[in-house]
Amino acid sequence: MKNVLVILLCLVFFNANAQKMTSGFLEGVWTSRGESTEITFKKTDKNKLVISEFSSISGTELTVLRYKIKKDNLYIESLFEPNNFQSILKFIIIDENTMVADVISDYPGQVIYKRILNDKTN
Amino acid sequence: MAFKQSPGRGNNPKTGYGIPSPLKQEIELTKKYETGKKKLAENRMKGSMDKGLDIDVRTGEAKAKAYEKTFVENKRTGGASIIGGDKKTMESATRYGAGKDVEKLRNKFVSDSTSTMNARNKNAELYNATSGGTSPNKLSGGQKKTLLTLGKAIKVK
Repeated sequence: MKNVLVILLCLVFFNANAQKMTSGFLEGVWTSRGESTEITFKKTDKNKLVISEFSSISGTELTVLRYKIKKDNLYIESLFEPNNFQSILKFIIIDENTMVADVISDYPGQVIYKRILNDKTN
Repeated sequence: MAFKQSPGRGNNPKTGYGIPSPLKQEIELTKKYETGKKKLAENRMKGSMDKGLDIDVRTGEAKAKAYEKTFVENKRTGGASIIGGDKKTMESATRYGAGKDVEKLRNKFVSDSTSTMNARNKNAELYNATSGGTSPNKLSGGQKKTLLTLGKAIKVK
């Protein structure tokens, strides 16, 4: 019984401290460490997100078609114009500086993004 | 007044000629380029790709896969081995012969890895040039030259 109570308390504690997917959390520069793309999130005065994404290979900018934050996940749909390659990223928060993105495209896979600069400190 | 000789330019080429010609060359992509681009996209969908290339899940651009093999020296025995991507030993050398065998194996590894990575990087560049992974206005001089050779582009200037 005591163990169950401890587990319950731990769960409550971890849930209370879990990172929430918000514009404020995302703000900054995120890198895939040369694996895929580099993403910059900027929050506007109206609490909207401005997303810029660049290829780590060629530096070419992707066209962000739409984004959505739903149930603590961030979805970004974008198009790589040179070859009309379209994909959707579904971000899951791992910790304050790490997110994992499931990529839905002709080449599904996972990419780990690390925060490299926190704009909140500027 | 003593004569002082300047070393001059030596064998170094004269600078200031501007951008090398292949880089400033204007090209126009042909129908063959578009057909090839479509074909590569179809192959990509089927999963039939060059084994030495990785396709970026976000952009569809190609990049060379990292070299799988590693050269491992055994400090205890003084020997060395080449380990494959599957972690299995592919080749070994013992310390006998004053380490000549180890040196020979190291040279073989360096030569193989360099030529493999050069080929993979060239393949990735070619793939990106012909699949549209590299935007036509960002093509390098080498990529333009390749497209011209393959008949996928024509000179316009």
